[in-house]
Amino acid sequence: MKHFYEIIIVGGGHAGSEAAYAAARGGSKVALVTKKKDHIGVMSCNPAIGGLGKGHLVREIDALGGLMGIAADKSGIQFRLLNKSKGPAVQGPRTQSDRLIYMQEVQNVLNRQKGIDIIEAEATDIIIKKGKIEGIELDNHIKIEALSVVLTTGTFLNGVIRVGKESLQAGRIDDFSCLKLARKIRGFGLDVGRLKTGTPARLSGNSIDWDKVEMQEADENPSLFSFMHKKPFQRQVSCGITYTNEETHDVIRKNLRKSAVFDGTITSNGPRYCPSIEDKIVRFAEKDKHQVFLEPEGLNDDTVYPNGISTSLPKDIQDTYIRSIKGLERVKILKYGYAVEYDFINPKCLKSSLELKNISGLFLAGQINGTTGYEEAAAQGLVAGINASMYCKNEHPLVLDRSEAYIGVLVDDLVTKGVIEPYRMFTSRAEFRLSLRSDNADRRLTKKAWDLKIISNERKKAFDRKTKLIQELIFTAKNKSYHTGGLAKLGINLKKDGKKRSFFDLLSFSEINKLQLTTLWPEYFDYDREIRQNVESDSKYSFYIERQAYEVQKMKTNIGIKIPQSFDYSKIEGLSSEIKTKLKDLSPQHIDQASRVDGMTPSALMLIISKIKLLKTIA
Amino acid sequence: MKDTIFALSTAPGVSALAVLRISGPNAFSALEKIIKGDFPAPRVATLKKIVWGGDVIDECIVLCFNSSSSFTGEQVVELQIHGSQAVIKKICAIFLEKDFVNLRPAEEGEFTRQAFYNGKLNLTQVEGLAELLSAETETQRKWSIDTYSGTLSKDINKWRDILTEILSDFEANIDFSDEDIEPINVSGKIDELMVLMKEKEDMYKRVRVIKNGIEIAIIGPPNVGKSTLLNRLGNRKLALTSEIAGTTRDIIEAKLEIKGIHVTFLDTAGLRETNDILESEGIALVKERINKVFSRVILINEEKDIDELGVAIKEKDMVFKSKVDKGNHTKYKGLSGKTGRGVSELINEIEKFLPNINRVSGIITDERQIKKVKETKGVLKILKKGLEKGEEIEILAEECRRGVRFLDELEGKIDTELVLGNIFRKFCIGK
Repeated sequence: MKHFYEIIIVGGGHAGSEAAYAAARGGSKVALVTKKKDHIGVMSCNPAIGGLGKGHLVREIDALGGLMGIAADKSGIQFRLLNKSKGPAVQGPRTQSDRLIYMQEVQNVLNRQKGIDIIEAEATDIIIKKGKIEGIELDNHIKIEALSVVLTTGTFLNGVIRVGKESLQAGRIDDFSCLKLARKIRGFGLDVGRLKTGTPARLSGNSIDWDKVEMQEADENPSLFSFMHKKPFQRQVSCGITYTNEETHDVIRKNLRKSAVFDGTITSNGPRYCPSIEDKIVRFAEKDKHQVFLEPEGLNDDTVYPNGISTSLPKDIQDTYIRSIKGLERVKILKYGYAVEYDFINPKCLKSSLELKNISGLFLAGQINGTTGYEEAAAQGLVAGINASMYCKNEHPLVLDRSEAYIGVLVDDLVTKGVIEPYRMFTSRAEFRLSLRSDNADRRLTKKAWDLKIISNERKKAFDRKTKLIQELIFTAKNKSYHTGGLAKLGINLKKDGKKRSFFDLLSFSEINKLQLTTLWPEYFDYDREIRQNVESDSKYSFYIERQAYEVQKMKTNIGIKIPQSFDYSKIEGLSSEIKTKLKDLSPQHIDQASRVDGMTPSALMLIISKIKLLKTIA
Repeated sequence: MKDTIFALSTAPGVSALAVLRISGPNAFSALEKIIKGDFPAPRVATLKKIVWGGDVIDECIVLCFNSSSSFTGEQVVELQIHGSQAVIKKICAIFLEKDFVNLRPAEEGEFTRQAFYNGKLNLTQVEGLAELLSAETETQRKWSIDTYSGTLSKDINKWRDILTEILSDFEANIDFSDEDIEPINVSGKIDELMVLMKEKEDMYKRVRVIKNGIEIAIIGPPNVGKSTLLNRLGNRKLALTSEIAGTTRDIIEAKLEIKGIHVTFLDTAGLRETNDILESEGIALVKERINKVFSRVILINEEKDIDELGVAIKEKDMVFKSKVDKGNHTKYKGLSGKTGRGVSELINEIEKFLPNINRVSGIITDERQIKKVKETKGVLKILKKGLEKGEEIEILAEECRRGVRFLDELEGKIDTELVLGNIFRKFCIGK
């Protein structure tokens, strides 16, 4: 019997489930191939979603109709908006999630979605003919044909787990390692490398002395991820905070050589921003303590995730150093921490659609592209899923610009710069940070999702309602104006330059309080908090956003220049051979992309521009 | 595809030698066509006959450079021909013949433009080179060769490092606020950068003085010997001199280079009450002009001359007793234009007032460069004020990024990876 699907998704993690859901919403017939059906959507590492930059990604995923925001809201047990004291552009929603509920929610969403079949098997081979994907083969030797395949192998591709001197082939503890597939992929002539990551031990909450540690509460007014949700679904709980101390550090220092990272067994790069505890102690020797968050993994789960002490030290050393920490003196360790090494493919091999440049129809998403984090994986899964679906329909792929979404920044960074350590999103990566806020993700993206027909009518209606209110409020606020003299009587002292100020302008001054605003326009506060926040952020950053838009416009003249596909860099004298190779590998589509290549200099760029202009005059 | 260009690199006119330079992808094939025997090894001066149509045109030293080691980043050929108009004309004519390899005369500055496009020079270096080529004085030569060899680039890199550190502090406090990292402490760094940039700005003021040169007026009562002094300084007869007071009516100039700076001496009409309309107009002109000059040499016969001149003595003015060969009864130093006595003391005095540029760091010599420095300084001021006012950190970061962009425009570029790299080196991240 012949098996056929339009799209096969390999892997059921955060990238895989998002990809399957997106592709199916796009109307494609999808098979999700995963080794263990019950593990779809499992949180393998920390039980939290969102954060700085990451929270932005989740909002964007939600704005595009994805599932991560929904599942995070349904399972959220401690919502906290990070950077509350800073401006709205850099505030990131985050939540602790009940791991079990999160996983169930992901599975529910996929089960309810039309067009997804879940196949419980291991993909062992990829069938390619003439540079085009044809399908995959499973471990039971069944072949499934497909127009397009999305690979989301996570840490399973040639995954090796290490605890001290012990090592075993697995992508996750008590799990398997994708060896056959890894061998196959190594034969594709792609740039394959190794990365590592780690996870801490898991503790029994009942054995923690909670009285001895600080506690951190959830927010009083929680910020949810999905634009469709207003209130949390679960009871909110607190996290504990404790610290390592000199004794902890001594134990680790004395046993450094037993760590797989420090004895030379692991040579691949791990994330600098998520270092193991051994790393922290070596690199920041002067610090006498490090923060440890004690995060509950669920409402009905005794497991606690000690965030901040991931490790690959042997089990007995883990016992000793963990018990040296205040509050953990009598702690029971449920599972030990470990490091995991896995294969990734340098994402420079990808187009902006996340399709491989040299194998048409084969898309990659998640850790296989060198990223870390659930949110980064899900964002790519969404893009790959949508674009696999577009590919099947022979339509243009969805490519988001750096100026319109963090997802755009993520994909562009990956495909133009490549990866040398696991890539994580930060707000500082987004040069248009003041416009890419979590509060306006829907205003930036939902219209696009609607045009692609990947969101529900219900979501579209809610979105239209919201945008109408915002437009109405901005219009009215811009038409209410006041003399500085009159404002001074209310105690609002602004520069007396004879110019009138609109209500919209006044919203950008943080020193103007609610009472003063109420006096000026009482009905303002009839608008929902969400609507007001959107308008206030717009006002706050309007000056900078306009200036940025102007500068972008100025730059666009050269930056928009398209680079002809057959452009031959090797013939440009004066370019370093390193840059030549990079440009050749990357084949950037326009000058803007070329300008972001590592090591690119303005004069090299000028050279390329002048060459292209020259070609144009000749042609 | 790229053009091959040629030009005479030495000044036109008769001379012993002239250098013709060819640069571009056809440079070597052009040379091949006009010489016989082995092609010269790169960077080896080789004696060759230039032959065309069976005719020996000239015999000269030929130098070849591969594109990897040439100034322009292209193939370069230099012909050190005899400096005869006929030879130059003939070779240029050959280069432009229809069946010769495709060459065309270079436009102004085109060799440098090739070098810039080929990444051999950055923008400030190009500017330094332009400055070097137009340098007339020793000081200009010094600073332009420094800029050309990259001293200014070094300064800009240092500024960028400081600004990137400031930005890293902001970014760390935004992206890692849930980690226990140290609070922002950038005030000191902003001040440090302000000082560095202010130095450059001040230096630019002096640079402008040096570039434009200075004027020193010689003033004094009629017949005190101003024109005689000018002629002495100019080392030739620039101004008419006579026993008759009021001989000089126009302002006459003599140019001198002192300590590498152009100094123009102005000989002026003697200041006195007069009924001669022409002379009194001359005196009015002088009074106006001598208020604008850098400094003045006041020549006197007697001390009371100073009061009678009706000119207020300024800080940089120098008073000398003139005609010192005939004695000096004043408290001032004396000089004599006629014998040259005391003139070197005058030059010493002037040297003391001349602006100084030390060669320790790079020098801003150009309007475009100073504009970028000022714009960056403007950003620093905004940052400082914003910090005092408690402005939102993401807005400060935005301003800071703009500052970095200004420095980028001065030359070079920044990558966010650089900022993150800084953060990771400095802070312990990873809860």
